[in-house]
Amino acid sequence: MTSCSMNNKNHNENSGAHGAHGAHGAHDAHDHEAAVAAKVTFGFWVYVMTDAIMFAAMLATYAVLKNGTYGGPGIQQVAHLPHILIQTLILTLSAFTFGLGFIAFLKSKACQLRFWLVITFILGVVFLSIEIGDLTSLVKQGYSWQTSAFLSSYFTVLGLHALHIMVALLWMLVLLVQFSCKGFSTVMKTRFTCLGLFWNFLNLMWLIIFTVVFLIGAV
Amino acid sequence: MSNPNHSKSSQHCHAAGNYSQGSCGKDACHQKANKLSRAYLIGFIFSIILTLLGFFLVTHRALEPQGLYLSLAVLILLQLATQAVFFFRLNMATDDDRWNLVIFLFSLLIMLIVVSGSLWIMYNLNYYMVN
Amino acid sequence: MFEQLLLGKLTLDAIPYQNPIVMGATAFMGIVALVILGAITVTKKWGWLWTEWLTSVDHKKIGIMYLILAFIMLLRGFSDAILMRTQQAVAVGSHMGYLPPSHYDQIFTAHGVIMIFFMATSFIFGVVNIIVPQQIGARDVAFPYLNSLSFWLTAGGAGIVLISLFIGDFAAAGWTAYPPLSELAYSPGVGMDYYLWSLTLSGFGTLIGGINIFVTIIKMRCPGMTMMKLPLFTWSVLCSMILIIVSFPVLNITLGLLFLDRFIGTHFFTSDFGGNPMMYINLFWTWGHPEVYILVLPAFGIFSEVVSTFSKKPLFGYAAMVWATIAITVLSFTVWLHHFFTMGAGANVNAVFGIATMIISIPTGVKIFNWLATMYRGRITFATPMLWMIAFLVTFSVGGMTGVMMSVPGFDYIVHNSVFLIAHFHNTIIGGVVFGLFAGYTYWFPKIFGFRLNEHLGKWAFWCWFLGFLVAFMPLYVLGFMGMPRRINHYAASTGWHGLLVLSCVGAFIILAGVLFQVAQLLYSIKHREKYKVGNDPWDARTLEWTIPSPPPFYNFAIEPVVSERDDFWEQKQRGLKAIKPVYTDIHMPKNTSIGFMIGVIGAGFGFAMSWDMALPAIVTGALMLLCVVVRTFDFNTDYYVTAAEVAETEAKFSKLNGAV
Repeated sequence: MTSCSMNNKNHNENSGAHGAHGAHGAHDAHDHEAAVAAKVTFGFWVYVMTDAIMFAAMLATYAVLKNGTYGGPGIQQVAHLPHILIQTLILTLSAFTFGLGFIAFLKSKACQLRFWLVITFILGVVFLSIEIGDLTSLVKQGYSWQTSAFLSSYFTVLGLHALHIMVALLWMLVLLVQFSCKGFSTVMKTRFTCLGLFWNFLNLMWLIIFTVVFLIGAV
Repeated sequence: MSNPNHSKSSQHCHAAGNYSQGSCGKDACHQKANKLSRAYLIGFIFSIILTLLGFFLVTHRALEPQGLYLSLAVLILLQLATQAVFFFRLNMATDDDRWNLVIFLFSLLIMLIVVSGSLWIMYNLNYYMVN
Repeated sequence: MFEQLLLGKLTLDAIPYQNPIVMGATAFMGIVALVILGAITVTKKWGWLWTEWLTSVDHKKIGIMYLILAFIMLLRGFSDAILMRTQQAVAVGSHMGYLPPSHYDQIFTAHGVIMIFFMATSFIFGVVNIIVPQQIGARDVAFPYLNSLSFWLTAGGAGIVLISLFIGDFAAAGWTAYPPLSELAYSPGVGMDYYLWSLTLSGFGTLIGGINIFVTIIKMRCPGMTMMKLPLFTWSVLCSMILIIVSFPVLNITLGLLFLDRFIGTHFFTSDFGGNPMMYINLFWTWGHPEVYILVLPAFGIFSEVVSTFSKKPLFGYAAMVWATIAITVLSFTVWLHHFFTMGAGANVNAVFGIATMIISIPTGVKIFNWLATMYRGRITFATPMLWMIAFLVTFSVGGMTGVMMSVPGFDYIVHNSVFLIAHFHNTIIGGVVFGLFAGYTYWFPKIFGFRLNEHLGKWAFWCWFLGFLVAFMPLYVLGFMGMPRRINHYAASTGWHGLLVLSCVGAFIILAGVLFQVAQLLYSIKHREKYKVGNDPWDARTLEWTIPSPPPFYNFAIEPVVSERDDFWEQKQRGLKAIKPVYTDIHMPKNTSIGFMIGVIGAGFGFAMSWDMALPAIVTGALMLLCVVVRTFDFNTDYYVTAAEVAETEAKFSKLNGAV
């Protein structure tokens, strides 16, 4: 089992005698944990909003540059709609499976939690594989992000989203490891909550990319 | 599965549903978890339907381009609402929940201004400077 | 091959041996650095520095470090200003001055970047970090570790700018870095990459800091402190943080796309292959306009505090002030096109944004009248902070008015990118932001350090700054009307600009005198700090930070305050403070951590390596940063309890030192 807690050796000068919590100790610790959890979830939600604004600016850039094809292919030539639909359905399913995992956490069912998390992870990897496969074949055909402004935007919008997915997948792995140490604690609940917000957010971003880039592109 | 020495609260879990952190007894907890799973299921189904609807409207050219743009706009708004209500669980119950909702709506407003403003400006520049 | 992976484009030629000014400045910086490092070594304070400061997560210490960073960068940015003013004062007709164009371009670029991102932003975060938790009755910010991380990312970014002085060049495309000039084809050197990495690092630092302070104000107010009882400084900071939260993502993506253009050959903003440089300008200013309000709103907040304290009156029209601040916050997102009226948009677009710009001046005007009304029939003390306030009212009004002039697109066509524009924004930034920060510095210095600043030297510094500013910048308005463009390093004698530029240079040196007086004031006050010691409340002020000792204990409030009205402390003083027997409880405090420091320093290394195409160092530093982040999440032991007994002991020590409240 990995060593789970690291003692931080740097105290400030008044850390002297730890812990005689007194009569109200346990309650205070619990309230304190709850207050911290509320702050962390709220702060993370604010962060998700900043990420959303970044995506919005990126999509605005895409919308402005999508006609800058410089004689090369446009969206209708590079988009492989059936694959995109499958990707969308997979990601939506993965949001649902993550939800099931979160519910397993609330019901204190460790096996179910791990199961649904792994399923979500696999779905995420499948999503990425399809996307990377499509983009690689584009490059092999000679159409890369260097070819035109449209292709730069296309690769970057998808790439930005894929990078976020990769971070989320790494986060999932880290949480699976940490869950083995900290179990059904408040801190783990907070972390799963935040990951859930992030994963749902990425699903929503993909739905918007799906609509703005692919569906509108196909009209 | 989990190491009982490390998990502080394996005997009781905390409130589900609105990501609020109050604690609850075992039964209330399970009730809230079930309510949440219902929400996730409904949200999932709505999302799939809206996705497929948009996809097939476009690929089968069911409407004129104008009609398609309008439908897609409506569909994405509905997707946004579905995510907000069923997955992000935004609501007006407690003070904390209201702050979450306010931040969400304000960010949406900013995104609307930035995107529509940018598109208008760039279209305008293109019209006067390129064509 | 290995050398290529390790060193990339970096060679010894990167050090500008031939340039005496640069080498002189480098030598000066080097000597100062050596003296400081030497002093720390001789006094054996490395351990103390590490545990008390570098790894601290105490918001007050982080705030002080931000202030130190701001001061260092003020000296650097102000040197750039002196260089530019003297160049323009002598480079007329057949004299070419002493700064060739390539060097001059780097100077005005560095001046803008340093002053906005590393001086003003650091100064603001310094004051905000120290004061806001105290004003809301909290013991720290919401996320102490992230607070440390924010500071060190900003410091890392500043480090890259400082290194650019003697390794390679800095960017020469202006602080706004418009493409295509900022693209690889026209800025092939390492300078633009330094620019991008220093702003990316500090940009993330600022964004995280904005989220941190925002959550602090929303979630950590003491009991009874409803939103409409917040001090105006905290309200202004809240709005400024909201602006940071929603605008910095736009800057991050914009710089990111420019980076991609330079690094992997994308075509977002190139002038060929379908790219659109105007999209950069559009996105840059979508961030850029809220940025100036991010800078000025906290200054407005400081003025609200100062004016009510030194007029001994509650702020006039509290609710109107709050709503005016909120209005400015929202409206600041609707005006950004006024930065590029002349770049090809049609009349209707220009008109809409012009009108929006005029509208945003209204809530600002409301605030000015409310400050004046606060002073009216007050019992005014002309302490240094109040002097800064009054100078602000005069100066900023002029700057605001020239802004409204330029909001008329037709007028802007005449003065855009002339020194009229330079005069306007220096007028509002110096008159508004800088004067506000100096007011806050002189007002809160006693609270932060426990002794007051020498008033006499403070007044000398003030008058030099105020008069120096007028002499330096009013001529620029006239020169703008005479047609002088910005960012030029030489001009013909026939233009007739020479006289006013000499006058402007004199003004810059008067400001230099002001800066020197500020340095003298600080040194003198430190020397005589025993004589200048203060208790809790040296100014007889109104808000919660004045209820605790100066400087405060690390936990701020031994007992969490409970408020029942606005300016609760002032009201209690009027009713007569009752001595209550305090009942102490255990206090939860966060532990120090080195992770923030390490990520910041490694981040600077990463930025440097990326700029020079040093593949191996870049991969290693990048991986290390990620590792630090992940390793930190495995640390579940991040805080500790201070026992009630310890609190009692500390409080007893403070009351013995400070005497009565």
